[in-house]
Amino acid sequence: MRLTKTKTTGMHIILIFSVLIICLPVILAVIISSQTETQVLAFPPKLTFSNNWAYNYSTAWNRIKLGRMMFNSAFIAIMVTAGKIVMSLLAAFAFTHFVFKGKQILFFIIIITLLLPVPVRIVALFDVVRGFGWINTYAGLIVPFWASATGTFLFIQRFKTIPSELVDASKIDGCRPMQYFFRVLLPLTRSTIGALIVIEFIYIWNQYLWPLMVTNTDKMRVVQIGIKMLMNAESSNNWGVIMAGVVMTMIPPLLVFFVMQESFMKGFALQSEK
Amino acid sequence: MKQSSFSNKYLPYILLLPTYSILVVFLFYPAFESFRLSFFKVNPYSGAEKFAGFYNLIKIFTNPDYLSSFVLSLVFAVSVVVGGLIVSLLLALLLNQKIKGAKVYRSLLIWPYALSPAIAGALFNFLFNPATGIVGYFTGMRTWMTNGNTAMFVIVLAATWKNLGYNIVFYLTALRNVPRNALEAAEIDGAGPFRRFFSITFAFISPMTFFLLVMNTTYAYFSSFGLIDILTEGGPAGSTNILIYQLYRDFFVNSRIGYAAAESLVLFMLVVGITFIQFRTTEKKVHYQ
Amino acid sequence: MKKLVLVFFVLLLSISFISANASEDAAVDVDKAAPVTIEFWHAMSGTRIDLIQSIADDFMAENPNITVEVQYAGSYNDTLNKVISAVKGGNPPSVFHSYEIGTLGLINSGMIMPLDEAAVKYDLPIAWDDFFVPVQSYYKYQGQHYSMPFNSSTPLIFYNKTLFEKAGLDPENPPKTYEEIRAAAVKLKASGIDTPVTWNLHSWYFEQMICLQDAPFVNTSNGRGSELPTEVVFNSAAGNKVLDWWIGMYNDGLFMDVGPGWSNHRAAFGAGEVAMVMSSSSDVNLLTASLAEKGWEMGTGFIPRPDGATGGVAIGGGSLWMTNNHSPEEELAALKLVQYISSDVPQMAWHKGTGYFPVRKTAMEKLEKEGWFVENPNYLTAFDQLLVSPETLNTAGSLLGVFPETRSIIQSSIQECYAGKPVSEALDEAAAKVNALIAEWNEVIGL
Repeated sequence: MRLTKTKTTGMHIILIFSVLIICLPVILAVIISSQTETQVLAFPPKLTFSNNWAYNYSTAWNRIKLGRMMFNSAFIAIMVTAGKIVMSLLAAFAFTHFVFKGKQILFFIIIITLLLPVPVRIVALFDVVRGFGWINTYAGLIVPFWASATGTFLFIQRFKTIPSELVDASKIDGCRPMQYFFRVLLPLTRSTIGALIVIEFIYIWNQYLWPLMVTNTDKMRVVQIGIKMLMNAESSNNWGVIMAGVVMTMIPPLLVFFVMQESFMKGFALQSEK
Repeated sequence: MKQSSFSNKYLPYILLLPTYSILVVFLFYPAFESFRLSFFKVNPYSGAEKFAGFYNLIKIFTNPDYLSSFVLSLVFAVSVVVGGLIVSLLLALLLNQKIKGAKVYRSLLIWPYALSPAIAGALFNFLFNPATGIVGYFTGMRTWMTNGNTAMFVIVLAATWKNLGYNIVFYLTALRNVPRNALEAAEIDGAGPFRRFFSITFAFISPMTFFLLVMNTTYAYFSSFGLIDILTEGGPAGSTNILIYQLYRDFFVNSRIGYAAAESLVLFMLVVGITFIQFRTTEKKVHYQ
Repeated sequence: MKKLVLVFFVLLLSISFISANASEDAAVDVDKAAPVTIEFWHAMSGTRIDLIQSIADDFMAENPNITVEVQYAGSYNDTLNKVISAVKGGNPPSVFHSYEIGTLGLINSGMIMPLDEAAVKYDLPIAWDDFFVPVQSYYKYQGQHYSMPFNSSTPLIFYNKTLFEKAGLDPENPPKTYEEIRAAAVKLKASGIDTPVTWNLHSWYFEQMICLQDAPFVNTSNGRGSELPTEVVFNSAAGNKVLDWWIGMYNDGLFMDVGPGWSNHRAAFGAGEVAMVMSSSSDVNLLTASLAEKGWEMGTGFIPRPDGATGGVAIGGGSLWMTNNHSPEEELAALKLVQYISSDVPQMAWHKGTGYFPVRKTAMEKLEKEGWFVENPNYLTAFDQLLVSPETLNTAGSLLGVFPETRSIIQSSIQECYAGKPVSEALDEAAAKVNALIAEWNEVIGL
């Protein structure tokens, strides 16, 4: 679609407006992270930047040893995402490119797992993980999340949109399934992989309940526990410091998305392979 | 569409093995353990159990508050799903255009998704609380959180907003995979932008729409308790007390283990039912090449 | 002959010396000097994490053979759930922090070493007489103390002296009864403050105001009798009086509904939107600073009672519990730790850093000698309120197994009253709901 100048300006206006509305709470967080404890509670609300940055950010960083937590969260997020993507790709491949007994049932079972969120199974899950000796270890934070119905489902949808002529062609060429998988399928799935990387990274990054139950020491804690550590349920919260912590913990996921955009913005090139 | 397939007999099972091992050990077994407890009375400290048959389930279904919670959850889910999909699709369409700074816009619009539910709740509290809420200040209306109806609106807004990034990421992926030739051909044929959207784009992204329908439904039914805990604690007078929130409280705060297990069983079956219905009704409509 | 007598005396002396030492350790076989490591899980976040760590560090300096691993374990609920999981897993922390409303549950949980029992077992008696009566009586059940009071607070009335003067009210004489508060609110409203009174939606205030009428919250001696409570009695005349007044002020536009949570009412007070709040006594510093930012002066007063009521306040907050199933060395270390934390120096630091009460009278006296209350007169109000509370089973605080859920139900009922439901109906319905829960809990806890 060719874009005229007015159309372009129009879109910019709408986009800027949308960004402002949607980012309003985030902008608020940044503003608050610059204010002092009592400035935050002012009314009428003081919506301008103040200059308490240094205190808020350094306090947030030091008080909860944010650096270590960011490392933990990032490490776990990367490991989980990698494992999930690998396992889901294989599973989706099985479902879309093979005929086998029990396919329907197995597929249904995977979908069901979407409906079993952590809170529902957390107590028994804790016992299982403890049985493996994984309390307060990276394994306990990573392995239970390697299977993903989301990923499988998504890859199935993606694989189904790839024309089946490609499969026929490769069969004629004498291609074995795994060769097809690596040579043909994988390159065409970049967008979806990119999207999943972003989603899974953020999912793990935002986890609170499970890491809380499973970790016991400073060395293993993750960023969301850190944020809660800055907050005090009953007594006074220094929102300036808390929001400083929040803003800092939002940066890695943002970076991940920024980097991943390249990958999943690549279009789908319809090529017929010989 | 007829899908061509490979003919190995054992390979599919091998491919599925890693996923299923994890699922069985870390998802199914714990979930069934939890569901099993629905039929017991459980001491929250020692874990001692006493078989109680349908006691917990009966308690659930004879509780008038449960029925109202059920309805609230439905209202909440429909609002979040419909609102979320429409808004995110519109934004994704905009972001998909070739304009300068698209990357930056994209990042900024996805960014809020990276906030944790607790913080999102805290920020919305800053916006809507009766004492010093910013929105209250600018609209002159202070009762956003203290009136049952507007409180529901606020949590729908917060939950939808929180999930926009998720939907936008996936819609962008789907839009990028709409073949350009099809669109160009249609344009040459003289089809206007709306026509092109509805007959081509919409069809190509329908698998993604279906996927997001399911995901947003599970999100609405299972994920929002952190947010509600900070914003309304299920109030005022239970008007934002959706099923998952009550379940979360019964399990983690009130320690009513058997009863909460039964609640989770019922909720699970409810969402299975909804998902099943979604599968059936959209099976025909989802368009693959 | 002389040699024989000498030997005899030496023998006698040695025997008596040995037997004296033997009887000292006869109670429990414990190696008091062995190096031991214990875990301490608490639920205090923010700046308190560092404060608790420094108290633990001081303890370790005084007890070089003991290592304490301190850990923030989440909110009170999160901490409790973690502890329960850890108990099931066989390695719970030796000491953990719980909210006061978890007391009856923990007493009946089978995973606790009662504090007094440990004190006797290791012959380290605790000077309960030195503790403020309401502070220690909360955690005393059937004659025995189960846990060590740690962070105790009471509600307090905070008011804006400057705005009081503007409204023609005496800034040095805060209202004390329901009628006086109402009258003050009317005057404040007339002076331009739309809805001059507020506090956050929290069942705690409701419970306290029942206490102030020396009325019970649950049956069986307010939950402290030898039988588990079987029903709540907060829908009594006393309970109705509290809500009639509270909702009455709301209906007359004198009270602002700021919802639950601890931020909104403080913000409203700091902004001058209200001139009177009820909040925790630990808020003294924060609220003084909030008002000072706008050049206003803050005053404090006792929380209100209906005319003629003769009760007192109960404390809220949390305490430290010891888990059982540990080696004697670990138990002794845990006992020493909790005793240290309740001693004067740490208590004074804790009070100054958090605003919670120091648990001992001697700590208060030391603070007084330092001139602390001259600089911080508003803290004195909280102490005075505590000191004049009579010791009854009602002011000891009520014990109930299903307390967390009860609070939710009461808060929801209050919201229903805001929306127009009659108070007595709301309270009766709430009581009925809670009674059903109690019956279930009593059964389950006996499994």
